[in-house]
Amino acid sequence: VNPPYWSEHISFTKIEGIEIGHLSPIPYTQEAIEVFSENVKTVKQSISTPLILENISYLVNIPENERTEEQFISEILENTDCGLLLDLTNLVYNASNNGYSVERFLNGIPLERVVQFHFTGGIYKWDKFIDNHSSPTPVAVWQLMEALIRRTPVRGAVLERDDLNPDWNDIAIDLEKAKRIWQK
Amino acid sequence: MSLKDQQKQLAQLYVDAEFRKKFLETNTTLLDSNEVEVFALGLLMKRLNAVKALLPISFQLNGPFLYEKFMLYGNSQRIQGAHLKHSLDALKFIRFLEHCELDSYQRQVLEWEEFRLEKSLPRSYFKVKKFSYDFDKATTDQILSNKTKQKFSVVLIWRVHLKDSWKILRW
Repeated sequence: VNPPYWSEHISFTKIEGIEIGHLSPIPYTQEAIEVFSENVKTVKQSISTPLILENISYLVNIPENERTEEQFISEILENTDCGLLLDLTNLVYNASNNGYSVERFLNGIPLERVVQFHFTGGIYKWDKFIDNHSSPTPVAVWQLMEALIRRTPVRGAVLERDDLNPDWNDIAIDLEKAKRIWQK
Repeated sequence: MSLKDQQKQLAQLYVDAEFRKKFLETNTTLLDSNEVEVFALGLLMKRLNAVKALLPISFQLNGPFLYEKFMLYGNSQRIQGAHLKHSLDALKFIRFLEHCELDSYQRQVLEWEEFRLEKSLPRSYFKVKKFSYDFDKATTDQILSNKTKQKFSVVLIWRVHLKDSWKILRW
């Protein structure tokens, strides 16, 4: 295996022995930008394959945030010279759950750094959209994919469906749709 | 508050029900308690689904009862470990159920699933590291402080240059 790039999420899952068990948002602060960027630089010294960084979905807004999500991501990408793995579903769900527009996010990130997409569908529960990779890709995500492919060259896309007992027919339909958008 | 302290507090809020309750009651914070509760519940449900998949027959037999018990268990005990965390969580949950009322058939099924789960765990082997020191120049304490760091280790030190005799200096 000789991948053209590898990826990691912009998140934390563990701190001083406390295992969260899921990707959690890092406070969008200057200190976090510096620490995260330093960590990426350390990793890059050991792994020469380019690293691309992925946006996560989040339910908790941290009051101490000093930046918006897109400002935080952009500064990290700039500092580390990494590409972006843009999870389209996470973006659509975050915008909806946290009351901002997808367009605001897209205008705030360096689109030329987008290398790959992730897409999938989740569930609506407890008044929130939750990205659990369990259902067909929603219309808003297809629309976003179509719009973005026109705006920036992207090298690949991955459909994420890792729930138990997936409906294989749904997966095939989603893959076909993605191919059609790609080939337009 | 430093980033490390912030992250520690957030992690505790997400996984420690008692800490969360106290924090949200006593702190006049801008943190949206509903957002935290929903995320914490999502984490618990993720754990439950993973454990359910590892104990499929037990959950098929007595799903609502185990669901209710898992909520009690999950809120009182954190998930630990990395790669095997869900298997270890399932085993700990089985132990949590030891004092709960289950009929004998359900108990037997649970024991069988516990046995199957334990067998599926990879065995742990000792990692053997060879190293040598010039004992004339280093004390045992110095060697141990250099080699064991914070990880649990069994260190056997013996003198190889003394013919027909060896001595364990520290176990």
